[in-house]
Amino acid sequence: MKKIRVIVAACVFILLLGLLLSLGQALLVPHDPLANPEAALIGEFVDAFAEEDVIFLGDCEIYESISTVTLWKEYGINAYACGSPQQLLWHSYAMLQHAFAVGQPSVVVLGAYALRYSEPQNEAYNRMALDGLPLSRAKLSAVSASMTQGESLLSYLFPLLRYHDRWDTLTWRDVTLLAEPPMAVSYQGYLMQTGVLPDENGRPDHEGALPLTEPALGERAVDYLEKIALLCRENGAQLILLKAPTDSWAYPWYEEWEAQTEALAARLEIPYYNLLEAFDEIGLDYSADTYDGGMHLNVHGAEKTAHYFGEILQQYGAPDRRDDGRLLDEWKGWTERYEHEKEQVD
Amino acid sequence: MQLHSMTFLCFFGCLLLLYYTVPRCAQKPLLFVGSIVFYAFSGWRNVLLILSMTVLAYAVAREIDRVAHQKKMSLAAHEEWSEEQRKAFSRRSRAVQRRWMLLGVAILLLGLSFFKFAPAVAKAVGTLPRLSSLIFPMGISFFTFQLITYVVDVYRGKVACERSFYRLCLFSCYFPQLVQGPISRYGELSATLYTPVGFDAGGVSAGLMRVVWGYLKKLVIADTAMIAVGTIMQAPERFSGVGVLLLLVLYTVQIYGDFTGGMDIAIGCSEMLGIRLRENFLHPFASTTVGEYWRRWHITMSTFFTDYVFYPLSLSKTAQWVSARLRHVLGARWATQVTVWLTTLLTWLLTGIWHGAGLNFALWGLLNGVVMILGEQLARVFAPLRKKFPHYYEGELHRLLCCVRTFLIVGLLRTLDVYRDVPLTFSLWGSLFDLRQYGALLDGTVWSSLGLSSGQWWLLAFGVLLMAVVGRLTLEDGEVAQVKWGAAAQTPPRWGGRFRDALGRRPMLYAVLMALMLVVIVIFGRYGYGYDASDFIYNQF
Amino acid sequence: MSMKKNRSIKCMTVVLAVMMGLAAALCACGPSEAPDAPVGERAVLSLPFRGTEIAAGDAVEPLLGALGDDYTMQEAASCAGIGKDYVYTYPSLRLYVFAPEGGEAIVTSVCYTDDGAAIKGVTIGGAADAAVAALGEPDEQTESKLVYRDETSVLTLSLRDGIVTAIVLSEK
Repeated sequence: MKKIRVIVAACVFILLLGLLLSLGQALLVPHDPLANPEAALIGEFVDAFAEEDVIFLGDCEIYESISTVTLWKEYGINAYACGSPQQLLWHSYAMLQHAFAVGQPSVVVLGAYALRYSEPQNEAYNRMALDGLPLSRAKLSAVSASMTQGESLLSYLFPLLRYHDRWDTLTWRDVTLLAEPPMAVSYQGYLMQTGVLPDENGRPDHEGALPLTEPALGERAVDYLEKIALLCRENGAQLILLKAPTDSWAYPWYEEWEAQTEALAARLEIPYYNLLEAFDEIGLDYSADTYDGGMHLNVHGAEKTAHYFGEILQQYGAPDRRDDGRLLDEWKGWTERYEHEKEQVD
Repeated sequence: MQLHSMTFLCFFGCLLLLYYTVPRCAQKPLLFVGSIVFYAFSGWRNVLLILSMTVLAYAVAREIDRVAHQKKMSLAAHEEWSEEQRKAFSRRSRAVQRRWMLLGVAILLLGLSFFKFAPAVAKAVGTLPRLSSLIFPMGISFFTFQLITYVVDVYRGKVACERSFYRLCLFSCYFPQLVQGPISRYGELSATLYTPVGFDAGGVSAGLMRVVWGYLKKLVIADTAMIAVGTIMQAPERFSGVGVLLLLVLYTVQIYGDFTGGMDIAIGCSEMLGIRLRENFLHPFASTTVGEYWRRWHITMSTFFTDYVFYPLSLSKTAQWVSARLRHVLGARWATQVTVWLTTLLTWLLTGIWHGAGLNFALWGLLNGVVMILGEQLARVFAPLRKKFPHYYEGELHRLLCCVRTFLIVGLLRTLDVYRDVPLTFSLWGSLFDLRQYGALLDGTVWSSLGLSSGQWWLLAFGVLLMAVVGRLTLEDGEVAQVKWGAAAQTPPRWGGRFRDALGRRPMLYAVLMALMLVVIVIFGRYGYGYDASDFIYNQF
Repeated sequence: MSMKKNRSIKCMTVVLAVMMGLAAALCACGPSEAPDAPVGERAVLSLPFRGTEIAAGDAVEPLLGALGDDYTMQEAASCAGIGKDYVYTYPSLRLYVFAPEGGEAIVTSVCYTDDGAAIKGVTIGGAADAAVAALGEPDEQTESKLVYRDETSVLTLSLRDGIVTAIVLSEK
């Protein structure tokens, strides 16, 4: 009899603990997409990515520089921008593994800016890149490559261990959001920025940037580029390296990096496009196309860039899917929302 | 390896699993290896140090024992000796034993003092940078004191000399007590330390409950209080007056949660292994006098200083000499009294110095001694009033007021440990009398300036209440009287009392409480990324 | 009796051996790192400017007070709003600063921008050999740079054709 009581108590313990911790995790892990849209991007990618033909991978240069809606509208390209702030190449590798596990993209566009990093940089950005990914060997590998000092693998497996201290900043909205359907903040990964803050020079430059003391690209980043290239080959996808048309003191792109990236792309036989060189051809104007003084593009700049880059994607076999009724319907909804958001500011 | 680290949880989980699966004859060797591995996490040199000190204690005790044995044999072999000759031989043997004991204790103390004071001295002198940045070996005070008690107890004939070096090593290296005590006595610990045990579900579950409660106190309550204490410590002048009062309370909460939490983890882990460690705290804030407080707080340290410093000092020839000299001046009664006072002050001075190489610690020790002496004398002065108003003096109100008074006194003295600057401490104590500042308690300015959110203040308040309730629930019957009157318990009290028995009988209650406590620790505990996980305060001793 | 004496001596020997072991352990317990590289006067690496030593990790507010207000400032929000980057440009020096959201702004990097500033006489445009002579042996030396490190920061002197082209102190 006592044995049965102990077994029942053990079951109650496990159930109660599981229930309370799950509830705590749901509440305490940040889940308000409006409070930090960038942090919601990877979660959205995991929920939404399925049969897109083109996937973009990278940091803010990727998710803010090319409008996926323009790619669809003008070229019928069904693309997803899988970006997150300061996405490092080992993050991108894990995301690409996920993409190939759930879909079959034929073109993979990888942001080149992350090639500069050999070491993990910032816990917050690691979290934004990795928290949204489902548990997999790829995620565990990316976590172990990403952890900065003081981080633990366990806190990626159980994010409550990282976010538990938010208990005294919880709002009623955190509670009500649990009962609401998920809210999209991006347009197939593209995060719209509608403001305009002109750059004085009107053109990209990195005047005032810290002098380059370590010209070599990140060793680990190069390793992961090779892994990504191999993964693309194994899955029959075309890999393209892309440098977005932005350059600033805060996010500089040095000549030394450019030269090495070109050499690396040539060695790995990956097409490389530095859109800084096509700045005028794209028609960009830093007096109107940037929302933060030239560091990132706004929606006008992103549309111009998408218009330019769509043609390149077509050259690499990105198909026009506008004859697919189901996709037409889906994109119609996203496009309407996109235009509505754009008009609100315009 | 900190007791609140994930490494320790993994280490202890594995050890516990192995402990109850290996054959019983392998349990204790496993425990020994585990203890060495545990200590090696703090540096292999520390392992060398603890083993060296154990070798020393072992050799000295064996020599003391050898001399005793030799004396016995010689006396038996020389029955022809006269009583005088026998006494003279015994005295000589005792003197040799005493010399060995003193040699052992001196070397052990030398090692401890070196680590304790050399860095401070080197810093003050400004030379020997290697020395000034010497790393203090974790728990050196505790194992040194344990070895001293062993050597002295062998000398006093209280415990038998341990012939197995491995067994003595297990006594000194036994890991739960290495971090911050309790300071075990060989005679007590050896009763359960060397006995193989079978799996006892009741003991393991009670130990586990205590461990989890310890983590809750440390990670949720003490480390939350630490935020406010840290804020005050960074700019003490900014928080004068009411800030001192708040510090006094908050630091007491912190150190109580921290130290008793660590003790609960240590004693709970040990109980899970079927080994009983000494209790170190018995509801100290129920004390009505500072003297009683020190019989309830860090009991193993207090009794160590009482048994191995105060009594030997009181009975020393020097004390007798001082008493004899004073007798001429003050008379017999006062001479004895003053000698006891002097010995008390000296003992407390040494207690203070043990806490740290600084004037603040020495003063803290001395002031504790002074307060205790004054307390005893004032009790005599107020004795007539006690007789005149027995209802009040024996009532709960008086008891409560005495408890508050004791809390404030020990808390105030403890601020010397926080400020670590004697003139500053005195000036801040003075600011306590600036009554104008107490308005800040009402208008909320002081509460919001200490780095705690309103949620954290509530958490802290609830935590203090919880500690008080659990402290009361887990007291054993008769315990208070034992402590209050200073009667040494023959059987050390057991944590938990009727509460523990109730939990043992109701597995469902146990399961629900355990789940709730774990959830509270996970959500409200201070750990993980961004937290500078604070060590247990008593690690540094 | 001689047996007894022998045992005493043996025991004494054990005790002395333990004491020696103990002493050895005590002496060995100190940190074994080599003394700091002789760059600057402070225990941590720093760049002097206008009589103030600037180290990576320093709070920026008191520094600006000490250095003067003849600077220009640019700012940029970090992605996802985790903080702001600033650059303060003085004649001959630039301070790179990061302020986490709700936190204190600290210097992440500092560099000289022309030969108007010097560390131990080493300026931009100076010879690499002279730099090594003044600053001591670097922790790392290649054709393109001299690198000095401490626990938290790294001082890099970029070189071209044996001439110092940049002097940068950054957080690790």
